[in-house]
Amino acid sequence: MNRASSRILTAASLLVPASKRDLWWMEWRTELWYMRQSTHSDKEILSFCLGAFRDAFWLRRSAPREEWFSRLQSPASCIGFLAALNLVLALGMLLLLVSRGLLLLSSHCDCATYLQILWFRVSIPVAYRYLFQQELWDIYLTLMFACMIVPAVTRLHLGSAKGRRWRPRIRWYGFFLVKILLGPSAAYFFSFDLAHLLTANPEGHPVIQIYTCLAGFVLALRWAIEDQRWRCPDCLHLAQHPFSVGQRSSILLDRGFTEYLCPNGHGILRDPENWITGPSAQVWVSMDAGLFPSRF
Amino acid sequence: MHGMAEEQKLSHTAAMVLQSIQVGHIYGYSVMEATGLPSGTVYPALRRLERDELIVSRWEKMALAEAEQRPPRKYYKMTRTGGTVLEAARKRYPLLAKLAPAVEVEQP
Repeated sequence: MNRASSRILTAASLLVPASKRDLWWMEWRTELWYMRQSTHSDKEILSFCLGAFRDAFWLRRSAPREEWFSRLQSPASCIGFLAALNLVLALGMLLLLVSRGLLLLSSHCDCATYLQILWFRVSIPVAYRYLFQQELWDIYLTLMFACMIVPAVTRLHLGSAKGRRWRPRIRWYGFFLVKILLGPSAAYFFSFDLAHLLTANPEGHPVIQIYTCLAGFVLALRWAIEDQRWRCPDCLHLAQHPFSVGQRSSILLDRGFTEYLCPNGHGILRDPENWITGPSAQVWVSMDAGLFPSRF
Repeated sequence: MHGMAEEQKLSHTAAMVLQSIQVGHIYGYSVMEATGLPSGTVYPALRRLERDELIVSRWEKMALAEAEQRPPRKYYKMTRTGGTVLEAARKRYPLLAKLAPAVEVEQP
């Protein structure tokens, strides 16, 4: 029982933001210790431990945007990360295809002709088939389903690029387009790698691949849209330094919101606590150019 | 300040937790026992109350806990704002005092 409750707390602690994890863990371990001292059944202790998930989830939801997101704050680091992720996953895909081909051929030919056959007769055609022929329609369909699911899991509001000059607007939409392309492609490569790692079938596991691909597409598209909302329309950096304004309990007349500042001083993002349609959604407020003359 | 505090509306659960802290249940587990609420409700409620500055928390001194061969506890204490908000909540929830009656507990 001790081990089970400890494992539950360990699993729940993964939801807690890293900066708060140690204290959270200490608090729950202490409370568990006191609970064990009193006369409680195993079931009650288990139910107590399961409550840790709600607590951890609350902490995760209420934590300001920080941690690894902040490392992708500049547009260059974000695109670089996505490109590197795609490269690694695509290499994994090729490696899997080559190793599968190697296993298949090893029983039929000698080593001398092996590499030649492998590259020119097996790997390249198979990779071509996977990427451009057989799977293409599956990917289109999965992507289409994902596009239909995305409005249900996030708002399609992208943020504010309106009223800007054409150059920032092109950069804004260009950056979004690159994320839209690189995110789902990474999801596809990942689903391919996973489907081929989990089964010995040379064709991979189609069900695992399709479902992973669908989940990956939805997550990637959702991330791309949500990330875009937090980007400054001028410099495309992620807004930072959250500051809560208003009373959290007075939601009717005096709704609270959190302000985030562009790291280059271009403006402030106002993020309402409760999203309602219309003008109460996230709003960018540009700062007067005279305040930070050095940024231009 | 008092006017602003009175404007803050507590949910019934939060009011129960605040009431139990006021009557002397000063750590998470005892709040849970006093209110009968599950851990998944009590701990997030405590964090919300602390975030809204209605309660403050502090960890017990390690030396004190080690002397008694037990882990240190996290104690909660109601703030002045918390007291004002609780007063307002009692008017909204008249049965609050009956739900979490006062107890005799040893103070840290």
